[in-house]
Amino acid sequence: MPLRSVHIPALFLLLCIQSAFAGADTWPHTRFHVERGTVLATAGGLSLAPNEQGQILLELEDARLTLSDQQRASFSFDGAPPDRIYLIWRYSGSDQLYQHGFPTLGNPQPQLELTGVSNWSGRPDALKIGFLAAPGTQVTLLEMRLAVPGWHQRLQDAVRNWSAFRPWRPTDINLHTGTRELHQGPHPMPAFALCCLVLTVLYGLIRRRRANWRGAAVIILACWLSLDAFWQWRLWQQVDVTRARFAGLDSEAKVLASKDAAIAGFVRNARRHIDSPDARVFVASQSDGSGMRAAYYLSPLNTYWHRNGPELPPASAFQPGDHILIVAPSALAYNAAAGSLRLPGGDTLPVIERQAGNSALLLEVSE
Amino acid sequence: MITAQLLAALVITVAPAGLWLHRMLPGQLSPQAPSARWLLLGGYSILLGMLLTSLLMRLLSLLGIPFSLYSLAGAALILCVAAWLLPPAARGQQSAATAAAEVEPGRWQRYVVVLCLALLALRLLSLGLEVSTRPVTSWDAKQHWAKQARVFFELRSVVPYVSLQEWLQLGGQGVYTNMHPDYPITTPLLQAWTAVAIGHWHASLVNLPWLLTWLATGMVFYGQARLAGAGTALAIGATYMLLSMPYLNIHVALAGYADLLLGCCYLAAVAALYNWSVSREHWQLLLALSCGAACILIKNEGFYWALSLLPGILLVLIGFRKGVIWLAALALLVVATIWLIPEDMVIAGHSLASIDIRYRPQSWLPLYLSFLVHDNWHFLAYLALAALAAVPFCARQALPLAAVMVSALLLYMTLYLFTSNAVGAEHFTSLNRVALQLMPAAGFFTLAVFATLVQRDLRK
Repeated sequence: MPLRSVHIPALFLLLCIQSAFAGADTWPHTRFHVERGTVLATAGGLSLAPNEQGQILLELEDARLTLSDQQRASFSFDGAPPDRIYLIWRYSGSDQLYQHGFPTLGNPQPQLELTGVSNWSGRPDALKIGFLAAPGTQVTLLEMRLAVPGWHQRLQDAVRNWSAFRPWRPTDINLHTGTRELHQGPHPMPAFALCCLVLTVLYGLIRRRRANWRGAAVIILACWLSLDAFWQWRLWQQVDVTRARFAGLDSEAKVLASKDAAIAGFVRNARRHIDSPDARVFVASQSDGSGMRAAYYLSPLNTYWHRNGPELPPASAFQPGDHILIVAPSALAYNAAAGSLRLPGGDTLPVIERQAGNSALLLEVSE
Repeated sequence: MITAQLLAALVITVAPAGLWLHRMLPGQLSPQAPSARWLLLGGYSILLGMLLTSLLMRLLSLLGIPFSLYSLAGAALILCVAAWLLPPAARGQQSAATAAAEVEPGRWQRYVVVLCLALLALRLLSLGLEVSTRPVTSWDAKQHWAKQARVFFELRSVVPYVSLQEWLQLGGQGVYTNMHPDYPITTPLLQAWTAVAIGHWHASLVNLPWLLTWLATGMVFYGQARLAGAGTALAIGATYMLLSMPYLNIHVALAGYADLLLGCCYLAAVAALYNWSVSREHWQLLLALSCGAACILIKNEGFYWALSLLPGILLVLIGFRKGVIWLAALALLVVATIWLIPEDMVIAGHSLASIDIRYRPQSWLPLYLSFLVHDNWHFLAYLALAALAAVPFCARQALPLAAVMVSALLLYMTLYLFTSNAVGAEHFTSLNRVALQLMPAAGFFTLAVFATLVQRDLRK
């Protein structure tokens, strides 16, 4: 039958649909054989406990695979994922095992683009999946998928990425990418900016002399609103998390409910040993974060904390009655029996222990 | 009780500045935009009120008077009485400001206004809940600003901060120390003031000044946008766009940094400068110069942003052609000055030796990503660049403002491409924080250019 002009758009449409939903291999949890780790349950997912080394190893049964670096490996977990996932494969006629691992970063639906993974091609003889998780935890695998993503899948992934929520991290004060992770694209902003440009140009071409700047303003506002919807949704989800953690608590209880609870709690108790409001307190730590937090929660006491410098000044800077708050990690050597503290320069100070905690120590300089 | 105390503190903060501005501003700024006067007054009153309060706190400390609601209320009362005694600007005389040419917003414009107001209310609610529930979280807040505020609050006075070495030499007697003793103290004073109003240090409520700053930014922007000739719908739409920028919202939610306040202050200066350049009204110039000078009170880099206003002022005063020649001469003078000044001479907290001037091309990628790929500012950067390109061809009245923006942009790029601050770009630490100080002004510039284009359409 000769190809008519009416067939061409239909063929094009078919090709688009076909490429949108590119073929995929999907394996539910029932297709895996457990080689390492303990099976806890198989209903509703394969629940496993890692061995003493934190390892789980699964073999994909009867896998007839063709590997390609265009593929993407996707995993789905019920609850917390393992810390790392490994793909391990072998070709027939060879004992060589190939391995590639990646961190899940807490994402229960981690994905790995296999572009650039060495030796990921051809038809392997065996494919195994390794999980690394803390001993005593539980990992529940729902399914694994290996697919060359079509444009529809990529669009879905992009939207999912743009609308993904995670609670505030310290680095959020420095930048906002619009995606779940820093280096994870595609980013939404250029997409919406391009959309705005295209729509504005189309508006100008269609309306011609009747086009005006107010019309362009409506298009710009509409595109901005659409992009901003992701951000507003994320803010509301964050408010939920914040309120769940801190709402209804008084000022002090909020601090003790925060991630600073350990340091703030220790400092609160330690301050009972610091009688004078004019007391000098030296904060020592090799961790910027720990030192900074300790100094903050000691306020309004007169504190000394040297970021990126020696943990403490020379012994000549100290006077009897000064306090030293050491927060782990620290290179200072405290000899409880001798009642002395060795400083970074090698000097020793006579000290009295005032309070000891799991990761902090309050000392007072004695005569 | 806390609510009443906070409201009292708000009145004490805003009233003196509000009364002074009320006396200074003409009675009617624009008959087509009656709301512009009140929102303008409100925004500048909040901003200048906060800055004035911090100055009063410094004065009280000098006089040995502890901070309290009463002492600050007394100082505010004196200022209010002084404002009342001031002869008002001629009442009933209409400002010569360019009024928006619209007569009555159409149906669709009303829908836009309602939608944007609803979205702004939603944003205010989400940010307000976040900032009032979460305790002080961000790094610099704990390392520096809030830590200093806690000391000022507990002592009810400003106390001197010195370097670590000096603190050791003085034995810590009568002095405190932190990693940046030369930083201006306006931001910690605002947190201390909030704590004074409540009566104790509250881990969340001390961050309320950031929500107030967000409001002031919107009010200043909207008021000046209306005077710049933007219709109600355009002005409110642009205000929503500005206040919805993710990175600006983050600095409210994770409150504690000084950059948002500096961004609001610089916006207030730039917007006033633009409207002065068009209308030549003295009160706008006074606002621009006051807010420009006030930038120095907030962060050390405020000195450079204040300087960036000079090219715009020069172009307005002596015209474009002469202005460009003078600017070229001044630029050569600046380069010669940098060449000749001693390396250890400190200007605005930095010396040549400390900034280590040399080309750092590794900053280009972070700059590109931050403005043209990441979602920090939604797509304002693209719009601002388009506006900058459009100015010479179809918005020449914005040339002085463009000169200000280009100066600020060049200073910003120099900071990250030619100084040791490049590390802040490579690690994405300070890059966007410094940009936040400029982006609200960039938003106003973009709006001003767009409003000019819309007005041209309406005149056809």
